[in-house]
Amino acid sequence: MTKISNRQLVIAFLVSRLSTEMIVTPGEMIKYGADRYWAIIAAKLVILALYLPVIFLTVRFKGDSAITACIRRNRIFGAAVGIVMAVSLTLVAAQTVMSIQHYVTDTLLNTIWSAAGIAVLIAASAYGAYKGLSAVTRSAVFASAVFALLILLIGVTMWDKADFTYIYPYFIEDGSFFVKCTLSEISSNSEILIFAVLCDKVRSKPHRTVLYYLPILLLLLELVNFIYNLILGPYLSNVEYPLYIISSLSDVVIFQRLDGIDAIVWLMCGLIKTALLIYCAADIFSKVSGSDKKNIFIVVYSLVLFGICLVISSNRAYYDYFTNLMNSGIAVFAAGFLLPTAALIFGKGVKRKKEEQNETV
Amino acid sequence: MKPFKMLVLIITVISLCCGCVDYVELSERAIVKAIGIDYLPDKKVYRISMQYFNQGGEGSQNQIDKTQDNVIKCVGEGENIFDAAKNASLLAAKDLLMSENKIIIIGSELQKYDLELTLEFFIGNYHSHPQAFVVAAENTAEELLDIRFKEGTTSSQRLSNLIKNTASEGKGKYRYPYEIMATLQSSTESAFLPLLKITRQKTDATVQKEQSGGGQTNPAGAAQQDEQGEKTITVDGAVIFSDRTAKGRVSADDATAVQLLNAEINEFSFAVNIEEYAKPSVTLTQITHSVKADVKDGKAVFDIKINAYGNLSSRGVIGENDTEAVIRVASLSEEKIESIVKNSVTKIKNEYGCDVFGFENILRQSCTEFYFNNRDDMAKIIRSADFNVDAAVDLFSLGLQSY
Repeated sequence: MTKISNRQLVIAFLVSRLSTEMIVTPGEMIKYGADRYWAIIAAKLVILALYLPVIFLTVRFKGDSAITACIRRNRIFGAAVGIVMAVSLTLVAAQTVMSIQHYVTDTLLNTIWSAAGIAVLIAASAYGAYKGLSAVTRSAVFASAVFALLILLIGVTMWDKADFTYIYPYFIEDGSFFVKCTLSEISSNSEILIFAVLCDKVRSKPHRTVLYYLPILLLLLELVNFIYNLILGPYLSNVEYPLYIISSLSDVVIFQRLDGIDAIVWLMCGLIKTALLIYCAADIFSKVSGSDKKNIFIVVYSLVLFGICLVISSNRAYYDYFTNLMNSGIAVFAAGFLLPTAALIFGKGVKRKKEEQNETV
Repeated sequence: MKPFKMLVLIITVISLCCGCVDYVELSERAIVKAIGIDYLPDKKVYRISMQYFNQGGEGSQNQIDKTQDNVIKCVGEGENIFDAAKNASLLAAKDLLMSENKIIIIGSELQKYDLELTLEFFIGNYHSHPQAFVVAAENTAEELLDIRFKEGTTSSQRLSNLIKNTASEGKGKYRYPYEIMATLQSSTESAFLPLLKITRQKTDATVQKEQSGGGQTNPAGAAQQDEQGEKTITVDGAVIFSDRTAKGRVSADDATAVQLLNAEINEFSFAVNIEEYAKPSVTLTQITHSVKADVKDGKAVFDIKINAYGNLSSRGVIGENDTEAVIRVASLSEEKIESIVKNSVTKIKNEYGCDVFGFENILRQSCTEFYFNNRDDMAKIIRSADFNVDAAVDLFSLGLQSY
């Protein structure tokens, strides 16, 4: 079984979360002002609390994931947990693919046939999932390097366009926006689902992934939010893709605009996230069924995902309902918190030699 | 393994088929270089004029003939700007490519309407160039685009250079669409656009367009034009917007004041009126500003400080070691800057109720509690706010320093 390091998973999670920052977060959740800074902090504290069951699970059942711990207790129980987890992952994957497609249509290719766009995105992600976890996380390292370069270039080229009078010290201006924004930030952290499934793939001390990931993510999101406020000021509340706009305003000698790089980065991040989600679904399948035909499952699953995306995107009402459902954080709470809690309480780990000896005595 | 190899093969084949599907050649696109938008109140329609790159120069289809203006104008009218642009595209018989557009000119009639709605067309269109200069026209935008310049690969190049040069000389900073959208979000919904005017000057910068039948240049017309000078474009002052609509026109000095309090000025030159020293010229560089806000007796007060270093670019009759004269010139320079800023702030803020200086941002930053407690009355508070101006000029010329 391929094992990856904490560092690789942290980078993969950061890439996955940053793709959401640009293409999934609803536009109205990014507003000018102090509220979002606090919402990001509050959301990270809540997310840390939501991660606790998985962290305890990795400590209690070493080398196990939420699914394997449940399967070991009872195969039917494990299958039920696996199915709920897979459904949640599928919903997140559908949301991610449709958001990438929406973003691509809005910014780059406004005449693209959406079914073709979705098909290509899913095919590329499925290929990533087929290549395996190690390949996906290596791609994530590359994507994160390009992202860092983009932020650096933006920082250098936009320095003269930054207006520090846009920044002001305040706590919470609009309570209802703060709550909505916090909820939105929580619902954007679907990486908790991936962690619950893949924590058995981390070489050692998987809980450290969370301990590294959350503080780095907090700093990164605050930095990106700071850049938004500094450059766009009050106009930030009116734009849908702030980083794309800021990139398009950047002007360096070689590239007149950086929005092309921005689009590539976000496309890569989105594909890596989808590939991770597909890989997780395939991993659940192989754990629950005990089958090693993971690759066939990836093909079938990708076709199902394609069908789901087509159905949801065929009707605006379906799409809005689905988006609202996902933004409520239900997937993160149910599959990222409740299932690992159930696994922690009812799961069963591998008996170690010492325990076996004690039982014999 | 097989399904994946097939999948990769299919994707590869699909990607190689892109030449088989419908696409638009670059030569079939109108590469827009400048856009002018007017509103025609009689017809109640928007009229959009676009200068696009003419790729059919001499020789081959894509050769550029630098002796020509290399642009073609197309126009379109419609119920809204999008509609007008679509009609212009139909008349041009080409697909419009706006990612190279560098200038957006707003006609005088359109300035009376919501500026945010006008700019929405450019902001909402991600393919539009985000770093296009937005400027105001004295009359119609279209008449400005009718004037063609010899200089540059395309006619619009000189126009954009003119706008950039005006800013570097401190006579009014250009604005990008997003910057204007940001200032329009303030309580006063203000904006500032440099004003383009047509003047007649004896230069040979423009291409004469008056032609007689048969496409020949009319020598009589050309001679007449030479006598009066030819039509050319200058940047002179600015148009001030408040409540998203144009409220008035201001002078070049006012435009300088707005730039002094908002952006960098590379260089700012002026003559100091001292007859006995033959009116020496001062060139200021390294101009910095700071604005601090305070609340006194429930009223906002802004302290504006301007610091500048510079030199005597034309010494007049000031002697090399005449320190006293340089100190006097520096003192008068300070007075001049203070006067420019005071007059402009009084006129723009108090008379027009326009906050293009960013006072609201500074108040929010410095007096946050006061700002949020009085947010709904902010336009009134800014308008009635007091301000103090203090300029410090440090001149040095040939080793002479004022301080």
